[in-house]
Amino acid sequence: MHRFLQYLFDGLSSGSIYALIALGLVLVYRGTGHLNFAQGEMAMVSAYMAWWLNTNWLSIWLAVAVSMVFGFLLGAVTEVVIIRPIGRRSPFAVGVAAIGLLLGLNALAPFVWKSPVPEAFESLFPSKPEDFARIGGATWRYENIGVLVTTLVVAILLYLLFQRTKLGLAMRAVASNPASAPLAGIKTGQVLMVSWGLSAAVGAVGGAMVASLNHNVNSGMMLAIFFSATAAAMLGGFDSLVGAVVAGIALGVIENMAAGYAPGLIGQDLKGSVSLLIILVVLLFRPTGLFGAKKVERV
Amino acid sequence: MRMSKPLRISAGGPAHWTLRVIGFGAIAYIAISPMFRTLKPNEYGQLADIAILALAALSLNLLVGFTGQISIGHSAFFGLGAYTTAILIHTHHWSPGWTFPVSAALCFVVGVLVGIPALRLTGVYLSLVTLALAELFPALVKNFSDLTGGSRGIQSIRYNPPSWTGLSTRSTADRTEWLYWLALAMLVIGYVVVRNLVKSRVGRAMIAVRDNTTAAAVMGVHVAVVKTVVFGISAALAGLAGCVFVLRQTQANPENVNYTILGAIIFLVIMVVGGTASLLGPIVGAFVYYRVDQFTRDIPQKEYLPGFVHDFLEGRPNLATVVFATLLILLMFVAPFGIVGLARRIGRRFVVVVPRPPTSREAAEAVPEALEAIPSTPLESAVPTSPSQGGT
Repeated sequence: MHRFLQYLFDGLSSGSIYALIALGLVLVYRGTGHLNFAQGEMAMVSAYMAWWLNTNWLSIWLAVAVSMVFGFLLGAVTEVVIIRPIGRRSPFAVGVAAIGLLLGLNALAPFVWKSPVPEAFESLFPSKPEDFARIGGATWRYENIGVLVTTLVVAILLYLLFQRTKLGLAMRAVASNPASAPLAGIKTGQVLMVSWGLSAAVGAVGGAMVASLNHNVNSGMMLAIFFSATAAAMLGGFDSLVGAVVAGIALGVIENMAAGYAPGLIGQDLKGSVSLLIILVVLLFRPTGLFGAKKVERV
Repeated sequence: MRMSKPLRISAGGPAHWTLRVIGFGAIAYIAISPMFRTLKPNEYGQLADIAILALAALSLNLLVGFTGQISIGHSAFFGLGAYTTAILIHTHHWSPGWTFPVSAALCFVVGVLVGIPALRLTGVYLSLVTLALAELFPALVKNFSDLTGGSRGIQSIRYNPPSWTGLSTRSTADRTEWLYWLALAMLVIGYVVVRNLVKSRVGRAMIAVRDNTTAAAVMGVHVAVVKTVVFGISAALAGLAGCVFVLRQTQANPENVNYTILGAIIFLVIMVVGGTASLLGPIVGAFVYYRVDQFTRDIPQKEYLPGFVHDFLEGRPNLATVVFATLLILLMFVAPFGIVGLARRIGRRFVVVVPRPPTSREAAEAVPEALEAIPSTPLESAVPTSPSQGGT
């Protein structure tokens, strides 16, 4: 029993991180219909920003807040300067440009901050060896609880934004019918810009959480996470925020269980592949994911 | 600036053939030029690497460019081919030449097996499943260490030049030269396979599937067969590239970039840089990619740069990748259809090849050509270059 709880607790925190990145992916996909390959790398750059601010001037929480603003600007500028103009020419080229961003941002952070090696990152939550709660024989570290709570708070805030604000209404309108939304007086361009900004800001939270759990920032930290998060977004249906959170957390738990209970067969090496196998199976039977809307294509 | 009217020549006419022969001759000259000019040290090795990358990108182009199925997992097939060759040579002491067809066949089978579930998926979903493949491959190699040597890899895989080549088996330079000719031969085979496929009835079916799958099915194209077989052929060609690569590396190691997801991205980038859905694109792309990559890597050592640039670059890693990624994004602004696409657009200002109207008999026979009458409005694929413009 305590093994089960242990894997559950560990899974919940890695799952929360998948959920945060998946939320960002869904925000972009609902708006512009693109898979933002650079989502993880934008989060990584924001985490570097937080690290830089924290080592020089600010307390860690303030630094993360500023890095979220930075992330928002990064996402918004990317949409306006790169994604939109290229999208007018060819949607395929947008995918390539996003892959270019993935490569470029991944290389850029160590380049800008002159740091080829991982840099120490101050933890956001109490993280001394004795900072844990003991439940049913398993240890649940405070930092893991903190990550889970942060994710849920972000998810609730996003839900409120979408359901209770004018901006959220506009974003839903653009997502459900991009052609008619402008007729209702919605400035589609601005909405898309904000979607990308918001997505990168949520990503910045995710990046800070990863760095905080690892106690360091490095340029490769988001790569594997990004793939699992994409799997989560897809499992959740790609256009559903609830789906992203549920699927993200579920995938985190399943991965940890699989690696924990089958160390010989799966172990840590193949851990990340478990989620990808799961989505392969799910997509075969439900091509729109668990929470996704069905689309009918006309010829 | 308005140019004077472009010259109009008819497809298949003498002028068109002259153009083709000139173009083909230029390429053939470049390919076999090592025979009659002195090469700088290691230039054979570089040319071999370029040919390998070109073959990998060519295989991807068949799948992505012509059939509209996006794969970010071709590094897995590349790696599968490489490891099959490595294991057959190292553990079973096969002669390297015989491992090629076996690797290609194995990759074909695996490609078809992957292609079957991929039938239900398109666009982003398919790209993610293939990406899973790319993620899985190095992990599997490490896991099955009995077969693959795990993270230690397999060492000393050699292909000594056969005696009829007149090359010495002792000297490394001669071995590299042999590998270049081998890589070139594979590239030519791959090119001919892809060209003939694309220009045939199957090719029209592929393009129809790409531009509008539902419409293609309605017109009688067997979508499932076309998609899976193309997936298999593409995987087999990627595997062949892997075979030559592992011989060139003389060792197989799961950490090698080309077997990881990054390799899959590099192949995709080469294909896009050269020109999606263009036959020559991957070859041009591989050449440009390799040269740009080399150039950017050497930037910090360039003597002619002013001092402050050197001071700025001091201690900053990854310059090459930053520059390359920037160029890639800029290219998407200037020429979303790659260098060949750009060259074609410029070329059209001077020479326009007018397709020959089909004779009545041909028109009656070629039923699938009716597909071409449908104005192609690419939904997702966005590869509107008409293949009838002649790939070369």
